[in-house]
Amino acid sequence: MSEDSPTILIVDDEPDLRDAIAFDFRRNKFNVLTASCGNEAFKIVEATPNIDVVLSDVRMPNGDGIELLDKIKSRDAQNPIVIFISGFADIKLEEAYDKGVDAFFGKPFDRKALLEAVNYSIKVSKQWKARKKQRVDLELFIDVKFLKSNFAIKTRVQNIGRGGTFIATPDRNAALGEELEFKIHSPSDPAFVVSGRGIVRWLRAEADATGPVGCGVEFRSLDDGGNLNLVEVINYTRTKSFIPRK
Amino acid sequence: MSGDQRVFLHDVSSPLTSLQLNLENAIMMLEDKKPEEIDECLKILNSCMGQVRRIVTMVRDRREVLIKESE
Repeated sequence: MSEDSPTILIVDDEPDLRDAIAFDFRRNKFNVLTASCGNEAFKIVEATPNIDVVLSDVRMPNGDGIELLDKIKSRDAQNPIVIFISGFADIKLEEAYDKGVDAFFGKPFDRKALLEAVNYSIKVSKQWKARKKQRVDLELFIDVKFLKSNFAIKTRVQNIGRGGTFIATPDRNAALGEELEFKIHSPSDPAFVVSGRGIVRWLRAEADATGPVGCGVEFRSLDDGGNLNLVEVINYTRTKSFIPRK
Repeated sequence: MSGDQRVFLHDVSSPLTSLQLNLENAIMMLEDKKPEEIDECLKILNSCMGQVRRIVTMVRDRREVLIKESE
């Protein structure tokens, strides 16, 4: 194993698929570990402190991916990153992101997109590890402009996740995959501004027990300085959620 | 969408993904033209045939079920 290379744990009960993914990541200079079920994977996570990413199937015997995600995020909300690769309809997207998954790919997936998501998550995670300062709780508001529909909204941020937030859109909902510009700010601290671009990861078309009509938005790029402000809030709230459900 | 259709899509997704990744891996190896990778490449292509057989069996079984349902 190379000490400088990132380490990925691939978890799938299908040996052929596990081997094919492992082969791909080894060619891209990753240290690769594998497991055939969630229980085996968690033992490896506990015994191996330097794992950067866990890439896991959802439906598996002997500990499914959701149980594995819960165990990993209860241990440490930020490390390692967990990315799901899933067959059809194993879990709702909003539930997976709320439980703390960093990205979600349906099978069959695009290998380049998966590799980009893994590398992006590792890059963001390293930035977060470098910043541990805590700050007092702030009341936050978000201004959003959806770029395709040109629809703009200003609303209070109820909860903020490690990678995004829920935006209530009572009058009109966005489109899945739609890009947007956002600016998070606080009336009590004018120096607190987090601005950047994001993408709609899931939609709630009708209000239900989990929350109102709206969408789950992932922050995809932050303007200069914003990341540090965001990390301070996240470290303060210690949330496991990547994108909260409300 | 019925429960059976969901199960079918779920079950077929893994071997299909394996097949896709293995073919892409084999193509990359052949493009690299490294003689020492030929054995590994053959192994991958044989694995592809196994995945094709699994998918074919699943599709045939599913088709039989659908034909019986429509009779």
